[in-house]
Amino acid sequence: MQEHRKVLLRQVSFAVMLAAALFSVAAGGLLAWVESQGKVAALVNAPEIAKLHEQLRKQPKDEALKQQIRALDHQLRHDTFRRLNLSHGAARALLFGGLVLFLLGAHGYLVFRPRPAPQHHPRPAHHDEEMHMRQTTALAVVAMLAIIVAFVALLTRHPAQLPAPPAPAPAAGGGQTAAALPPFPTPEEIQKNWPSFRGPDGSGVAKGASLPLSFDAKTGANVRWKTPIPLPGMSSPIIWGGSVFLTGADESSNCVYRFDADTGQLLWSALLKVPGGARPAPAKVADDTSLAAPTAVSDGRRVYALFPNGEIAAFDFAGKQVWARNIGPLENNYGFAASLALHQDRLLIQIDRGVVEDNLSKLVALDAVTGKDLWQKPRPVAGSWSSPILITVEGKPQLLTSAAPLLCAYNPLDGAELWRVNCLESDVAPSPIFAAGMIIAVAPNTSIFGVKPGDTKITWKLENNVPDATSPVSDGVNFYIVDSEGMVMCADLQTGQTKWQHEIDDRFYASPTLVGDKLLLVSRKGHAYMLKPGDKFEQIGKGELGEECNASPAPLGSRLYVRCKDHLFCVEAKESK
Amino acid sequence: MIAAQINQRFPPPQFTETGHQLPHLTAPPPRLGALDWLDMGVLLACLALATWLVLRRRQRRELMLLGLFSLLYFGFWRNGCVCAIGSIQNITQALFDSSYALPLTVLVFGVLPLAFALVVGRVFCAAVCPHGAFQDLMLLKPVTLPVWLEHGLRLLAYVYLGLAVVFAATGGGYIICRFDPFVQIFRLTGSLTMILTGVIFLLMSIFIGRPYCRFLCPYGVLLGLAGSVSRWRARITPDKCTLCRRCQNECPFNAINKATPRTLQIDPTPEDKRRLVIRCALLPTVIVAGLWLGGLSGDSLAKAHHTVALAERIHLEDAGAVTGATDASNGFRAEGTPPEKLFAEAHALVHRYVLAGRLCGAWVGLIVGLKLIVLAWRPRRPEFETDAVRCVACARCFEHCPQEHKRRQQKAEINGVLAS
Repeated sequence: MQEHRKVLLRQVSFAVMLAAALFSVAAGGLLAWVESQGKVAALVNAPEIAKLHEQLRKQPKDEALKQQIRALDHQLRHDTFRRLNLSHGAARALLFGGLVLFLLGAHGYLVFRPRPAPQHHPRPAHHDEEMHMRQTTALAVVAMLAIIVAFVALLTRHPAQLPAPPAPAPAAGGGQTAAALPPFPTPEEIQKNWPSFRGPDGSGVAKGASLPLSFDAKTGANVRWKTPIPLPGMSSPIIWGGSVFLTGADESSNCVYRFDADTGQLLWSALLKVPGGARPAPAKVADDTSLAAPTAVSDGRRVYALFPNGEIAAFDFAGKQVWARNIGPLENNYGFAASLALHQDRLLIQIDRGVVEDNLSKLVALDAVTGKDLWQKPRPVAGSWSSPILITVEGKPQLLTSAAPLLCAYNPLDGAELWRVNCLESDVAPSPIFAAGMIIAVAPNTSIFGVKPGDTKITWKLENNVPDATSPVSDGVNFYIVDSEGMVMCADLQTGQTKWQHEIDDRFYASPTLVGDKLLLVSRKGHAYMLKPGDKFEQIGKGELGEECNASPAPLGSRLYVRCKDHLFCVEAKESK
Repeated sequence: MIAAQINQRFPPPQFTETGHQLPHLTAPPPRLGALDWLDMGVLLACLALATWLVLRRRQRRELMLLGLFSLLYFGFWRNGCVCAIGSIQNITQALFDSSYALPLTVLVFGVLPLAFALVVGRVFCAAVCPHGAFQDLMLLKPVTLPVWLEHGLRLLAYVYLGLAVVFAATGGGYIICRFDPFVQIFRLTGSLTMILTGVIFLLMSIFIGRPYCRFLCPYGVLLGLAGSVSRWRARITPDKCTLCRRCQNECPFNAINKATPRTLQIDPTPEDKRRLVIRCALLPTVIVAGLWLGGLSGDSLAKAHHTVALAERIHLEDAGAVTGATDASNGFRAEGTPPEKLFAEAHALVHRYVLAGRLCGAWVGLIVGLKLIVLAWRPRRPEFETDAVRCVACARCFEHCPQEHKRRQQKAEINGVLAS
């Protein structure tokens, strides 16, 4: 009888377990189905809602659309929370079913399991066995440590991708940070900085920048800071993030400096050293050119600097030299002065030397990451001192160069020549500019040309007040030039018609710069003239740097950075601090 | 008051036109002050009762009943919150973030079990922790893991503790709570992944005693360290051990250390001494290696912080490396804060993570180094004894100890005599 009851109990138990198992499977299936329908958080990103929101942005006053959004939002929420309730119910049912299954299973196991036979007590482990076990355990601990190390190694392959820090990073980490970034900056990122000679597009225009109408380095009025520059040079400052970079050189060393843009503090000074090679002899340069005339360039990952003796190098933002090499010789009359250009990860160098027949001129592209040659293109031009600029024509990049006799554009990716105009002559030092579809190129002391990109002939030609060293600047309507003797001229950009000219009793090597709504001219004596751009001459302000100044200024935001003979200045309206 | 707090934390959307009814919250609501005190009182009472049951009553069945109560009260009734395991993070955050006010309840839940462990061992694990009780109640067919595997896997708990402290100290979040396998089951809601993880742990618990407690629980690490200096922790028998080995066979947690009989207690050999010296010398190397590796991982760990994640997203969007925008990036741009400020904050946080990662690596290195040194020793144990760190005072060994049976029989006889 008791055996019969036991069998009956087992059968009932089994039947209930089976029912509980089926119930659990059904509840689990329901839970999985509900889960597959999406999460509550997905409400926010529902494509229907997003689409309607997009429409609402275009038609913000459409009441019917608003009602439609509300109704759809309500419907989505209703559906989602219904699913959530269903999910809760299914979870409870699954728990209940699982509990019944487990309790009956546990009961069945404990009641009906075969009883174990009594065990003999094994003897205690031999001592050597114990030690052997402990050493095996030690090996297991080491193995687990190895697994953890492997996991850490995998983890370090995906570091946080952030822009280079504004403050100096530890030397060991600088390179890693650059490596973690996308290989080159976006055009938007470039536009936010002043990464090269005369700014992002080499035009000397800082549209969003501002400048106080007066400043005086002697009294400190509207001068944020002033910092000594260790070595001389005529290169211009460049700015990336919160840092200002500058080059300086003397007969024994070529250096790159990083200054804190807020305080002017010299964060580091890096001495260029080409590994394994003897330092080339210092370049023979004119007094007006200096041993550090080419302006550096930066992509926010590294800063690149070229010196007239042929040495070129890349430094990370911690001041560590990433690569360095000698691409010389660069000797030409007066001394090499062309600044570097950078397109994506290609460092572009315009090396123009001698006369056309010498066949010494070329355009060189280096890999910005490694410094290795990518391509070289011979240029049938004479020596020049102008800097190449990158322009965008019909959505495609062009590298624009000017040297007698050619105004010539190249594809910056592979160096293929795109078009050329035979119009220049003499020792070309002014760099070209591109504004409102018109290129302005200067043949020193001879002519100014207006050329449309891709045209093989010039649009207009102007033959008076032609500068010899400085480059033009344009506000999109007119262009402005100042020659080294102080003659300022404004002419129509599209026609070349002179609108006004005015003589300032001063001398200029720094190119004019458009800082917001002010045309800035910085003279060799350190006087800063502020003019109102337009169809008539109007001086609206003046500043004093109190030092000889030959480098083009670098404006960004509310600040203007100017390199003078001995100091780097930061001008900023006091109320902007 | 509860409603006010909920409103403040989660402002609900307006549904005045449609009359939509907001659903109930799925996370436990804040507790009223008096109920907080009730929780603390229940915790204290349970700890005291567990201590009495382990040290005086020495009854497994009663401990199981207390465990069941803890599971129902702290687990299913209180939804697993506040819990002692997670309190590590709150306490860490309070130490590193002066703006964070540590609730008294959390402090008490974090400190009280540790205080008990310092004196009487891991009685909290025995029957007060709902996580432990849940797994223990599921244990039907225990499988004894090899000792080497036990030691290897236990290292994970130390790493988990280190990471939990790193994330809590740097504001990266509470990973213990986020990846708690049982709390979703207590609340009967949550992500399917975590519920399934909990179910897998429970299924494992049928065969492997308390897998979460032994191989992952970060609070268990602290309780074990505190328990190692406890004077009155659970002993297999208060009388003379007969070296029958039953306790070791019955312990499902590998928490009984073998006896080394007097005949086998030999002095350390030259090989033993050499091994010990090498491992002692290795300790600083392992710590420095951990320091270095931890520092390397800091950059990646920092991505767990919402500020770093947002800065990375903004940067990648600006760089054109990703398409579209997230709610966070849209919100940030609408706010008008300069990205540079965000990037500067992110860089500062990355720096903190690198520092914290180094400390975490050094901590793991220290544990590994010390483990290797301990394993180089030749043990001298006259009796089988509970491991001060690993024993969770479950009382299973009592039930199978012949000396304990004898003691109980004598006690029953004495009681019978006294009663008559």
